[in-house]
Amino acid sequence: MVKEVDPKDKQAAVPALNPEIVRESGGEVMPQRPQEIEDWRTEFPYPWDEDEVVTRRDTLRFLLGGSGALFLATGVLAIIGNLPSGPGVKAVPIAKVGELAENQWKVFDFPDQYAQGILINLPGKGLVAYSDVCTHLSCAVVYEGNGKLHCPCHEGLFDATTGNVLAGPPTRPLPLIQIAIHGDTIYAVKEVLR
Amino acid sequence: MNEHADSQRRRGPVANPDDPPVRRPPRGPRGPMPGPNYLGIPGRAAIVQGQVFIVAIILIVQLWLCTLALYELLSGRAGILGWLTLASAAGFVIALIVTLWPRRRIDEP
Repeated sequence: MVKEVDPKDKQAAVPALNPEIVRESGGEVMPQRPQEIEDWRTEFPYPWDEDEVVTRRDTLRFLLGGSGALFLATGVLAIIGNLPSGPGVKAVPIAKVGELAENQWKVFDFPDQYAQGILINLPGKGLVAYSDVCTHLSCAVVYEGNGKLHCPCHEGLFDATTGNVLAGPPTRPLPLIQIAIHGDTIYAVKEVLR
Repeated sequence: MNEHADSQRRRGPVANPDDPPVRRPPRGPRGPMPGPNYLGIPGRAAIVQGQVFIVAIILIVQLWLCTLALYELLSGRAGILGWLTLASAAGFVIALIVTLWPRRRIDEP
């Protein structure tokens, strides 16, 4: 809404945003008084020529640069993810043969003390081992004895035979840990992410 | 005022008398151009604004792809990373095309 100012009414004079602008009222053109310009400069001390103007084209160039940077970042992540990481095989003794009766289970450290796996002796299937870190929010899963692994944090359920998700919030199966038996010792050999 | 009344008479009855008179768009080699201001600075500004909008949407999608790639990498699943990079590259190529395609330039004062 434009407020019209009567040029004869000196009290009603309102400083314009730009001192170069002249105001019109009833078809008359009226320049601003020097005192008004001084007031305006005091209240708004930002000269136009020192202001930083960002044009639409500058914004477009900035966005295009950001697009290229994100492409490069994703490419770098892909390269890092596909770097050869060696065989990843490390034999860690985890149990003795015959140590676990049917439906018994034990937790072991693999590949180091900062990560654990779970070894289960399933009836009819034998020994299976998985990472015991729930694929939802990394709680430790436990074997329930009925062919299911249970995550107590959010009621996630995994099939102990395959490691696949049966219920709950997890969407990915448990990582499988390959085992090998040498002599009377059971070794955890390799973790397979799925 | 008289001029406005004259133009009103010429235009006949209109829904809103305050509406500006309709101007025809300029005619190009392949028919009418998109709008009456297409050849001027307002038309150019609208095109650049559209470019900014499209590239910004592409950038948001690429940001999502990048975060997804980071999540997959940290989860130990590298198989999908190549496809995510390919999708991000496609987004960048589209952004390049959108930015460079309109070659019309107007010397702004």
